[in-house]
Amino acid sequence: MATREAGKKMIMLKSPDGMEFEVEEAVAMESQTIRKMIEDDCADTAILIPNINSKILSRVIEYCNKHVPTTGATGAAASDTVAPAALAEDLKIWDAEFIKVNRATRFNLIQAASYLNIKGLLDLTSQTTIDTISDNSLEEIRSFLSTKNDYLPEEEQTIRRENQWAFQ
Amino acid sequence: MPPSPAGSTQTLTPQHVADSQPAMENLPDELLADILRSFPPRSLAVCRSVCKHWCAVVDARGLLLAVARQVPCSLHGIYVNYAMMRRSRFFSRVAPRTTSPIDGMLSFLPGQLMRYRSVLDHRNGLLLYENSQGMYVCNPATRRWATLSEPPRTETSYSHLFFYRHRMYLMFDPTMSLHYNVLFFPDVPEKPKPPHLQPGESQISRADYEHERNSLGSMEWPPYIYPLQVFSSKTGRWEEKQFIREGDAAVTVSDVWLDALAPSSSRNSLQRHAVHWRASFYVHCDSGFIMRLSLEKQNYLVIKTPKLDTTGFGVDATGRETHLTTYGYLGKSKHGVYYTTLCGYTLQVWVLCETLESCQTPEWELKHQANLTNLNLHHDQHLRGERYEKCWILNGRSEESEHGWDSSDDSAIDLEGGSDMDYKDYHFAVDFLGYHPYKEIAFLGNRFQGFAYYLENSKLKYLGSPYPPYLGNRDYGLRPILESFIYTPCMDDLLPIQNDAMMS
Repeated sequence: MATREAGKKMIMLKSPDGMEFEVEEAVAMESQTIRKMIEDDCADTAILIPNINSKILSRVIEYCNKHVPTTGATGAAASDTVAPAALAEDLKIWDAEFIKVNRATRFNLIQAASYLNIKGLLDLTSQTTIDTISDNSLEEIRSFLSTKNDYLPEEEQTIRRENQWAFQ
Repeated sequence: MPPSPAGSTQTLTPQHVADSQPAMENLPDELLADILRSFPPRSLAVCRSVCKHWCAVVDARGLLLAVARQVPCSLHGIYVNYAMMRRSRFFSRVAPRTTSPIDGMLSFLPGQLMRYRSVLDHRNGLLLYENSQGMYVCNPATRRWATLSEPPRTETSYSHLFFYRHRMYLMFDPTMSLHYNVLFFPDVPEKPKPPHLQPGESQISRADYEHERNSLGSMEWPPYIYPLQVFSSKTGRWEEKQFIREGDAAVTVSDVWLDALAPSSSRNSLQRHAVHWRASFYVHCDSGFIMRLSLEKQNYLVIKTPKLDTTGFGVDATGRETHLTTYGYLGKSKHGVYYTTLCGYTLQVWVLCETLESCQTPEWELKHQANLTNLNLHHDQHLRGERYEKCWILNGRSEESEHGWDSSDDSAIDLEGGSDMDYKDYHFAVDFLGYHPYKEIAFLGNRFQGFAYYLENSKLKYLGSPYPPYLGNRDYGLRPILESFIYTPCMDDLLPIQNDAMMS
């Protein structure tokens, strides 16, 4: 059971597999998509997120919980006691731990971050993918992404020749 | 979790329906494009070849066009350094006077009237250059340059002070990053001087000298921990990085002392060429082995060069003795790392086969072999004004467009071919200038002319002369060309804009 603190508006997020997550409105509003719904008064108390399963949604909420600004209206956390730089450093370490997930989960997180429009999470998930891919050969990328090669051998040769420099 | 109040649930409008197989290809195009856009150009081009969908995403948004400036263009010319003349020349295609932004003559650099000025290395459009004033990293295409500070002096780093610049290499891959590194390779320990050459006061005994020489000389080379000085344009500083050897050492220190082609030997001072291929940096070292460095893993592997076949070497076709040199050239072309040996007129081309398992030592595969005696025949025909039209010139203006390099061209000539020409009087060493970066074409010189040599069908194409006129009749056995660098322009860099560049 989520604990309700006085003065905090809670909102219910529902995943298509029937799980429900009660989160602070400020946390949910880390997602620009949800923020827009709330601001437009489209969301009353519960929002169904149609294409994000509960496993991924719970991770997204975990991320938003961590990244929700600790100052301002929701400023219950003691931001005065910790230097901002140290806080940012903590967050970085936390992010690095957070993103240690398997490939499928990461792509699901990218999709979720994009869909819910959570910039920080999108940057984090895409950057990790970029870092993984940038130094790898074509075959490694294909196997890493489990992408099917739909080129005919001749087609592939042609397409590679167009950017010969990249394969040297 | 508390149950949600019935009836008040809102649903986000789905933009797409998630697939049961989560993968990057299921990302919406815009999102995929955003991710691809963040890749360095090389990875972007590789990703374009992953599947049709990705190719379409890359092409529809012109993602590769946006980074075209960072991709090195094809061959533009060759920088050549000559024996006895420490001044580089630029050998490139003849073209009508155009407003090409590429200044192959480097007129934008300071000190262009100095006697001593030469190209030390080239990598993907950037040049490492020196003159009597100092060292520079410059880009002829953007006319931008930066001075390079001297590497810090350490005990091991250089003993042959005069030649230390010949151990400097440039590392630059604009398709991954616009920053560059300069690598400075430490020399072998200096050979102790025999007692009679030592200054008066510090006389050592003959026995001591021999002991010192033998103990130094028997040390393995390169050492297990190889300290490299690395300059990074990101930090603007030199820093020592230690590279750990994988596998065996190549030689001993005394082998390097004995190497006649070492830069320290007076007559044949020679910059050893280097190749940057995929994630590795290959350097041709004194006494003829190759070091393959991985900057990322900070380790290195010694690769032995192929043994030269010297059967019949030293005699020409008519059985007369010749005095031609033997040498090896490390270069890069279509299939990766090439090692080319020239033993008199015998050309052998080896390609490095690297297996994926890093534990296995890469091996050389003989790809091509030819006898180049006919280069001299063509020289003679040319002197009589026959059938060749020159299309390359030395130190002239040039055009940026890439021409065909088609070996079926009319002007291509056969290497083999009946000849009753009497060429036995010529004993010129063959100069090897390098390879076309993407095609199996070697550039050769016979002391008078330069040729493009097509490996696929052994045809030669006359280019023009890469030799300044006054090199004329010096020692025929020696190669007049010491070093050459295949120049592939890159239109972008992070070098500072200097005042000189703005004036031109």
